[in-house]
Amino acid sequence: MSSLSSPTVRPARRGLLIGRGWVQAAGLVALAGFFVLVLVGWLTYQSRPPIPDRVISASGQPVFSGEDIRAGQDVFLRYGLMEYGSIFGHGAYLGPDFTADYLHRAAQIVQREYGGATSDTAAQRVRDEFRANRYDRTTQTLTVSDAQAAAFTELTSYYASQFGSRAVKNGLSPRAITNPVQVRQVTSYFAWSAWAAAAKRPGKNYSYTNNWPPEPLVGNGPSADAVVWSVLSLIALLGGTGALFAAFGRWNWLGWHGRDSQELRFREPTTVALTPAQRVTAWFFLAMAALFLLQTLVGAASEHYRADLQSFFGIPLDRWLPYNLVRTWQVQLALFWVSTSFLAAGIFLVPMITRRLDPKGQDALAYALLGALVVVVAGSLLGELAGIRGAFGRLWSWFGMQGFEYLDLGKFWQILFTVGMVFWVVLLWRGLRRRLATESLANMPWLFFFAALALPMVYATGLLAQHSSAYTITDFWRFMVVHLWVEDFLELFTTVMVAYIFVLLGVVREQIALRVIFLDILLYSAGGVVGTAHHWYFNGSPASVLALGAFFSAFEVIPLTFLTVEAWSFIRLGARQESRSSTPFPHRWAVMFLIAVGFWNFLGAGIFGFLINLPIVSYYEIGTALTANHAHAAMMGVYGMLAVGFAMFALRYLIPADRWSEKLARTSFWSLNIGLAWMLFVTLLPLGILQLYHSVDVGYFDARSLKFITSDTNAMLEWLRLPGDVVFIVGGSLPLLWMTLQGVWHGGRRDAESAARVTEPPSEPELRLFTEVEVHEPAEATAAGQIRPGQGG
Amino acid sequence: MHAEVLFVAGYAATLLAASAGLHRLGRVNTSPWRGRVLAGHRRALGEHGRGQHPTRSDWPHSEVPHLHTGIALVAVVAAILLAVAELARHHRPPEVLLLGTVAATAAATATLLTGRLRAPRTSKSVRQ
Repeated sequence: MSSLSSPTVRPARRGLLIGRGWVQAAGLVALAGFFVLVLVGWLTYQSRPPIPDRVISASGQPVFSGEDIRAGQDVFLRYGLMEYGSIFGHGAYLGPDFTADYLHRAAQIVQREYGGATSDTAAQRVRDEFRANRYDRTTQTLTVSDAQAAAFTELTSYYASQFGSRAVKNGLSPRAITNPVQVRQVTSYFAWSAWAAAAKRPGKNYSYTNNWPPEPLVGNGPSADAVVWSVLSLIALLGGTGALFAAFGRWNWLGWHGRDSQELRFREPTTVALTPAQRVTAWFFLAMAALFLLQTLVGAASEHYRADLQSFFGIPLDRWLPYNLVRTWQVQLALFWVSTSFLAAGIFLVPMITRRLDPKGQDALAYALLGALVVVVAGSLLGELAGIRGAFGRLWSWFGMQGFEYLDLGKFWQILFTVGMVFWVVLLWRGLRRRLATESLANMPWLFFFAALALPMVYATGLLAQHSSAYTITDFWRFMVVHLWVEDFLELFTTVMVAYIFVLLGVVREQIALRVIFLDILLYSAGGVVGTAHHWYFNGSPASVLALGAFFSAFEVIPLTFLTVEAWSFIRLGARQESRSSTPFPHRWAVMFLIAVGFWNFLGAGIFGFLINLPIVSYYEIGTALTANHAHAAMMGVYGMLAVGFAMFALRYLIPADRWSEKLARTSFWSLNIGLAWMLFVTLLPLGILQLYHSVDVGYFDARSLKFITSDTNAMLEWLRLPGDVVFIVGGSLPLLWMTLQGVWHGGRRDAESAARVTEPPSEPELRLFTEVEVHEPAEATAAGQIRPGQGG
Repeated sequence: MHAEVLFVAGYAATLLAASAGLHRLGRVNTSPWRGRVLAGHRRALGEHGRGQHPTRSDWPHSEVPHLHTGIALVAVVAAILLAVAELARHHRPPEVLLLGTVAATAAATATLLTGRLRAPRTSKSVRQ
């Protein structure tokens, strides 16, 4: 199919290359999923724990107010405490979970008041007091016992010492929060969260948080919903996996009917003409590699706090780079460097899709996007540094530290980032629009565009997380980004990008790629959209949200554990054998990284994800090292490897053949995979198992305490991580950085030399990635699989 | 015996078992015409598809065992390191016996897997 058309004749749209049934099924499942998600949102708004206007003691004394609670949430976010410890189980894992911490300490203080740990009467009285819900809706007043009020006063002093002392070594900067009003406000916030965790929801026999955290002192144990829906979730996983295997075994859904009998000749990458915008992506990939290296370094710093809280090899790092700051940067940089690669890959791919030159000014716009990205990254990171120290006054959430884990960046930077992504979509549209005009809406060019468009749209929903909203509401919108954006829509974009790369390389038919994409949409919509609720089991959302999350998130895991199909969807069905082509396949390492993506999707997202997915497991496990185990394996293993894979694909065209180093690519590939496997198997997984055991055996409060985290056994496991991290950083990220430098150096230079020889812009054939599809024998004639010679997407 | 020793020994043994599983999983054929998951479909097609099976190893499916074995080897090395580090912390005779056995088994497994990694890749490295 020629991509050039007469300017006077409007080209007809290419017909739909996939059966309407696929499109309808995907549409219906997605619609159903989003309908349920909206319902979940409504339930969340309706059923969140109330924030009382005032809290008074039984004797009528004011304890704290609703304003204190809201201001306390601001203190918690502004000073980066969610990147130090957690609230309702959500946040970081060095510091305590402040809900569990306050609840346990307050219960101990009240028990001491009533007779001590040996008194059964005292124990029962504590349970009764904490579980009784004395919130009066009409007066919006919460009444607590005099003993609970006294505990609040005592704990205010305790948190003042934790946050404001120069002597306490806990990973925060010395004297992090010294304002007594702010300390009192944040203690109010913790106290309110602890009340919501223990007090029974009206009409129910479990708390607003479904009895989380586990705390025997107040009678908190797993609710019936947590147990029953865990069982049903397991049944859904096993049944769904079996059904999918059965379906794939029985029906030829993806159109395999025989081995394809074409041979491709891949064009030597340096003979493929690059457009100016494609050359600009060399700078994007350099930025990607630099941000990745920076992320590994701050990651090493944050890890060191877990190994040695006292100092960084003798340097008092907490004075300048406390744990909550380096952890914030590590998490933000992970999102930034992966996004940078995805943005660049999208720009790089467009001329290959359209086989047209860029529209005028595309390269300048690409540079502008890169500049905007640099501004957002630098501005947000510096803003977080200043914000954690209390800068920006009333504008703290705009320019400083907004403070939600994963959405730490100031609102201003968050908006700019969203605008940047919209700008990126505009760039893609400019390049694609003529091609889109000739395609059916469900063919690959449109799917590519829709998948790209979805990214800023879904990310923008995170703007609705406001520091002034109740926690449960902020969590709902936060996970639109953390789950829906990262785990669903980035996954969709990934699938489309990877499928398209293989279509452009000629190793898969477009019809098959389309079916894989729609199958992915179906499987992830069935599970992933409603499955977002698996993050909301214990954050104040009602039990119905727990049920929906547990059941549907099992379906999300099914495609991830379906290794064979996942491997296929990435490394191609009926793939061309490397040796069959008379010219070498130029993208060995890009494909190797994609193979790694398939592996880590299975292990990191599937196995390690489901390990912590059941409500009954999450009940004891949330906020512990098994969560970090899954997060590292999935985020780096899937999106990290993919981002590097995209870079390898583009760099193959940017770096001349005589400069391309197989050794560097191989070193980076194996170092990243070995380093990642090392940090999981040596440290995160065993630590997580130990911590989970301790949580069940001794108590969640104890398992999250610094005393446990810095125990000898844990310290040994943390230190043993060092060799793997060195391999990851030195062998993994440094070679990649060097290769991207070469991409910048040679990409521009090479084209300057070529430009001196060539007087015409590259023609359409020079933009193709392969030539001469030779047909050795007639292909099987079925509607699904027939390809016409020369058809390559 | 110290509980920590029992945990590390048990965990290291689990890593060895997992590495064996990973290595074996990597040898499962992911080619569409050989994968077990398509057995029902191949039966439905009858002999039609059989003659078209490629005789040479399919790239990139042939890389899958390499990656799995490589990661399995990392798991085995992790087991060795954990056992040795634990031995340095706890080394009463029963602990030495237990951890030593685990470390020795892991070392033997590592040798085996290293050999498999270095072997030339053929279609036989992927189970048919």
